[in-house]
Amino acid sequence: MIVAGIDIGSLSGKCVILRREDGEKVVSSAVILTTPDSEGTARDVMHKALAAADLTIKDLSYIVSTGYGRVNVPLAQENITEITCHTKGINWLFPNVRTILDMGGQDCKAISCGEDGRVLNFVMNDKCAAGTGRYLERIAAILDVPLTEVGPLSLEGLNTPVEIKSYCTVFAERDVLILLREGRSKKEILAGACDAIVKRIATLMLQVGVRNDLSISGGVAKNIGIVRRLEKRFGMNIAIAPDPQIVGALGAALFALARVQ
Amino acid sequence: MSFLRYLEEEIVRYDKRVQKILANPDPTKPKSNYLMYELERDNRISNIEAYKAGKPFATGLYPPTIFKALGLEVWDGVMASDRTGGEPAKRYFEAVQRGGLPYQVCDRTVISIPMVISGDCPKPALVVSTNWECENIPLCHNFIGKYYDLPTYYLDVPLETSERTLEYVADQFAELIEFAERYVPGAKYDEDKLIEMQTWELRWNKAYRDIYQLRKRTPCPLAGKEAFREPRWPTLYHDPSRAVKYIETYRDDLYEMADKGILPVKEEKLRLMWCISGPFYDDPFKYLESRGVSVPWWQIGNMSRVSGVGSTGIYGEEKEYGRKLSLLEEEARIVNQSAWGGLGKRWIDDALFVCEDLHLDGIVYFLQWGCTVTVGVGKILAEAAEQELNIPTLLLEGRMLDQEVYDAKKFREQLDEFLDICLENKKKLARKKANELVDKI
Repeated sequence: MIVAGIDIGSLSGKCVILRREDGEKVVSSAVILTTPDSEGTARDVMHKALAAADLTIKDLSYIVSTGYGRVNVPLAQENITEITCHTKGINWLFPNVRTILDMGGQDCKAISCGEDGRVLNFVMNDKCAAGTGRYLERIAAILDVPLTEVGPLSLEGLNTPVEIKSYCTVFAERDVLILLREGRSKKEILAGACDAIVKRIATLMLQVGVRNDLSISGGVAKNIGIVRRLEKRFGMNIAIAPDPQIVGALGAALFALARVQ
Repeated sequence: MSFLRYLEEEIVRYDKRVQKILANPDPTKPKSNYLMYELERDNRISNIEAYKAGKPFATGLYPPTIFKALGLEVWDGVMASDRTGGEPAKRYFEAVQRGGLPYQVCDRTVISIPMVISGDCPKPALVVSTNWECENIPLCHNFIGKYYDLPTYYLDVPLETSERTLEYVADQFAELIEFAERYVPGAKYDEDKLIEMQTWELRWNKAYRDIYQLRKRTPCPLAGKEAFREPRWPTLYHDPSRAVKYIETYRDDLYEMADKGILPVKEEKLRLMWCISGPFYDDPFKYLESRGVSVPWWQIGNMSRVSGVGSTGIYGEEKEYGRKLSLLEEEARIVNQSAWGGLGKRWIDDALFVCEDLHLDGIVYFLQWGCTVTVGVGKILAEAAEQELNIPTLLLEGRMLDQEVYDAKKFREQLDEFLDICLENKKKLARKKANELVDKI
């Protein structure tokens, strides 16, 4: 039995193809950039994931969509909210996780969950770009640093970080320009940016209560600088999915599988 | 700019609604809607006529009863702000920013300033500013008073309720009467008029209490939007008798509709309390109803208290003090009960009382930007509801009139998640209760 989960986020569309054969197995996955056309994004990302597994849409028994554009995916039989899907995905990967931080491109959510993978409580920041992937993207763009290098470079600047005082992303950009003019290095500035984002996220996490184990999903989880800082802040090891960007789609696929069963 | 533009726009708006109901009455809605829209329209017509005739207006959230007894017209600028959703709100927010006023202050309070100083609303002859209201509203009233150099009386309401504080506030009302008679031309206190106004208020509150009883029914016969409708005292209107007639008819309509099975939610899955304000430019209640969720109660902080729904009394009742109160003490009792000017404990106690009394499964707490009183209480209420009643709370940020920061998709997503949490919690509580029963047997 083969199913699909599609996550249409604000920045990227993700798809996971799941097969049930002696347990659930991820057959393939794909990530593409989101276009203004959610339906088209869903179709494209699904075809990409299907092609990688040498499958066609006819092989799929059920499709569940999630994410910001989930309601605009007509090829899905059902849509489920992203907090629920992220929690499901993480619970499947790491059953002992009780606190999840989902850091997407546009918002950030702190989720508290039970051992059965159900959401117990959550807090969402969707009003401010500080504390989201967008913040890091903007800072990286100003410094002309590839996004993938932000985390490692920020760890190199750990001993001499600068302080970025503006929470607002736009003003933080201005702070970065001033710091560059003052001669501070890129790694010091990136260390400051990662410190600022962690400060912001920690406040959100404390609102739901931080319980062991802790996991991060969403694109920002790929940033090792953020992960290490959060580990230090909460004194916990953080479980990271092999591909944290597809956790929501994975959860959606798990729901799809459960529906068919 | 046209004179009293807000009032004129409102008259057109309400008249359209009256005509629409006359032409095509909707059997699923209360028949009394007609009376309400007609009342609102005529109240504004009366406001314009009174203003043009040079009659003095008093502004301030309380005490409309005493304003009427002084022969003053009542202008409730803050509640007028609530009705500016859409284009007018945009216009006033622009004026707020142009004038250098703080944009991050709660919507309903800050835009009441440009509404008055732009000439869209009546310029008052007397301002009563009080900490009973909240922290921001008195500042707006003070601003209007200073701007026009108007006689402004500051009513100080203590945090505690006792015989001593009752006397303290009643004495201030006596002083307010003297102040108004001295500084507002045409103001003359008439005790019989105050008795009449309190009689109307009492009748209004009795109808309100009857409606409260109806909220206990499952499914709740009131649509979520209805929860926001009633808290508007009759003495705020030009003709309180019509306001009382309206709410009594509305009550009868609701009972009749409930008995006939005309219900917003047929199969009720959840019952929620909605707190503070909401996105008035959207209709989250319709969405909740589509998911089988009722909102039997809107917790604005003091309605259960000042209407005597819970343990507190109202006009003529001897509940808390064990004696008959004087006319001014009756008014003092109301302001002394307010959650806005009191300790946070009142918010918590009232909300928990209503949640238990109406068998509610969760709380949606709208964190209104810039509302310094309620934003802090949200988290405390969430913890208290969890600990004492085992029910969850959703804290949602937003602005009630300014749509610029509103994302309907995100808003509904959070509601969806919360409903799932509530449903699961309800099942868990039911299982727990069943197990306890089995253990007893």
